[in-house]
Amino acid sequence: MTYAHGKHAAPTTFLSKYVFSYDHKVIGKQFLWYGIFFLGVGGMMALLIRWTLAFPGEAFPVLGPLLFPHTNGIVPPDTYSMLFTLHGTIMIFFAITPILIGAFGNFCIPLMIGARDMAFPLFNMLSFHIAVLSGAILLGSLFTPLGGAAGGWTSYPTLSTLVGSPGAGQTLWCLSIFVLGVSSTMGAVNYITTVICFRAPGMGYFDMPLTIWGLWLTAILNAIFLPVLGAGVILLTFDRVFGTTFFLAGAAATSGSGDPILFQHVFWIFGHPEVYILILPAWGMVSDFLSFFARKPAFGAKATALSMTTITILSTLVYGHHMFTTQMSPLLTQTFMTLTMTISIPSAILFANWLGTLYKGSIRFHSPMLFSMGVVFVFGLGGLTGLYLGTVSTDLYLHDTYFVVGHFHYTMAASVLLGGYAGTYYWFPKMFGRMMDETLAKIHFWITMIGLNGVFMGMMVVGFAGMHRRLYNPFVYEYLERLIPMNKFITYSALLMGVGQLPFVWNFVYSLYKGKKATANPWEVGTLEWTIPSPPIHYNFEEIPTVKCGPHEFGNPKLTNGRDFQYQTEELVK
Amino acid sequence: MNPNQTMKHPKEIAFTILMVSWVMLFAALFLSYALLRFKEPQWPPMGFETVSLFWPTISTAQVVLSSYTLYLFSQNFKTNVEKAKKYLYSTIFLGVGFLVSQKMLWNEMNSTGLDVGSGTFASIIQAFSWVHAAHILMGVIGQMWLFSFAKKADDVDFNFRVLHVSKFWHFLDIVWLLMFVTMFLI
Repeated sequence: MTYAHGKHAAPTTFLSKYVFSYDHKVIGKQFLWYGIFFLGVGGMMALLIRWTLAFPGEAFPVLGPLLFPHTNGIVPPDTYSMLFTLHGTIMIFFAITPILIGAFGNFCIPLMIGARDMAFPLFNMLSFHIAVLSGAILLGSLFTPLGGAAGGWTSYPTLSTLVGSPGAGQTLWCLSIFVLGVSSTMGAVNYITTVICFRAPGMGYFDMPLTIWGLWLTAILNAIFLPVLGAGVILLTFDRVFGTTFFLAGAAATSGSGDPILFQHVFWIFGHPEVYILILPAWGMVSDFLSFFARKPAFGAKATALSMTTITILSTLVYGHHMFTTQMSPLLTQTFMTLTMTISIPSAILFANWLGTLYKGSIRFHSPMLFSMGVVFVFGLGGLTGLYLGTVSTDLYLHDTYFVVGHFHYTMAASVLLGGYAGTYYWFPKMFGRMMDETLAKIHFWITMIGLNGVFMGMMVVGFAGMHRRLYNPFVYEYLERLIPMNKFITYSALLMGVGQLPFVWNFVYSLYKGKKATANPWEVGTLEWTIPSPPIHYNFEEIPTVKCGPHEFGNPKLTNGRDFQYQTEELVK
Repeated sequence: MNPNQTMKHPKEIAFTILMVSWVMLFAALFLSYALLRFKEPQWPPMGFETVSLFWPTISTAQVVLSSYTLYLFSQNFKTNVEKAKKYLYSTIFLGVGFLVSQKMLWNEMNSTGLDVGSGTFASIIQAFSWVHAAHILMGVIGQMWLFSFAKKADDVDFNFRVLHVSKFWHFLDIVWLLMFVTMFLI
């Protein structure tokens, strides 16, 4: 039995076409706009944070006096806490998740597996609208009397209980995360089912592009672990609203007291898979792009897919390495450390395969390739610095310092951001039928690359020197005063990185209307989405294609058709 | 016919994934309960009496019976409309009854000093049963969604609806049985 969607007429009104659309391509674009909007909001918050750390007590230029009139433009301490809390929350849940998973997941999965739409289009549409509701709740929380959540993106009790943060902000944060969890779970159910049931005839799991592997594994992790976070924020909400005592230690010492550490367990059981949820789609895309632009078959594609699967499984077993300093039993810390180190093995295979793909390739340095190679570089750094944090003896000293901040920005921010840009430049022609400007894209790449390495490398340096994260003004401590120049350097790098995004915004908006018209296959790649016009017709495929070979068939010397690649719909030339 | 595609219907696969999500939600609540309970030298903690078994037992009877009547409904809705109608109504009646007996349980706990603010013992029982009851409410609404069965018995989508509402309900039944044993019996 095959499951293929029938074709029906394209919607005609504005609302049914752009707002309440069932079309996965439109929903993907909706998520893209949503994510880019929040990327801007989160990025501005980052600049406010960086300004405060480089120039404590000085007014933030231009916007400061407008935002904080009562302090003459200086970021106040409580606002600072809200800024880093919401910067983390927004970037992770409202920028990276919608762009990498919402936008590329929705747009690419049906196109790359040869389906006409997702398995459940209505579910898909609701998933976006619920995400909008969640974003509205989060932004709304900023306007409550005591402001937004300020307990860090991890929302550890007791900071996040009524003792640490009175006011509605933290409660709305919990609500917003719960609602977003519902949205993401709906999306995940859709992705998993679509990949299982709607692959084009002939497409086995290992014939899927690695992008789909990444998105699929991400969806599996989402479906399994988001409910755990859901349970955590439900209990936290009950503590805040109904007066339960799950996370309040010593509230009733003789009568069974709550435990703040309990939340950390629940949070990180979700939280560690979450970091892989964020990076897996980027890994998948990069694994594909390196092959596409090196004009070579992906080295060990099957091993890459299996490594990603292994990492997915291992990622569920290592959450304790976030909690080494919570007086865990040494037996447990060593177990978690060993399991964490085990992740190095599949990661190293993955990484070696990337390098193997590049080796002796005839590389085309188009913008998606530049960004992909950027991912290889920054993810290497991020991954290697993770070893120090996964090792108990070093983590005890590095815990809660800026070294951690630098590390996870290299992995979650830098890699995922560069991966997201690679995907945007790569699929823009398919999404909108026009090309983005290559020169601007390359300027964007180099400024971003220099800026982000300045920021995140600088963070690791000040962290190694002992600077703690989340401090409003670390320089009240004498031993940190020497780090002011380094912090200024980080802030200037952050400003550079911020300015570096302007060419992208201009390029994106300009190319939407005035970009060069894209051909059906501008990158000369053989996967299914490039066999149809750009942008694709309403139901993608006039006829459901039959897949006859893998996605990375490049540089076959026996090819005689004047191309160096094969479409997946063609019989493999032997 | 495509050998690469599974024989299972997409709706069945999707619902299985959803069930995994629900299992994880309740598993996380059970984990929290276990951690809070094993931290204490004794359970219930010093100064607390165990909760009377009266209302929890009635809830258990209701939810087990309702699972049985829903099973009978799913066996009969294609063949015997009158019988099926009776089973569906009894299931919904028992489901609503479960919510009532839960409310009585919460009232009783509140009146005997086991209000949510009195410590983790009462917190976990009450909060856990709130979350469960909210799902029971969803289940009852799902059962009402089956009212049109007489007209749609041959409809493929409707058959999936019956299957999924049943799976969800039996799952909630099992969760309650686990709660009953771990929270009230031992």
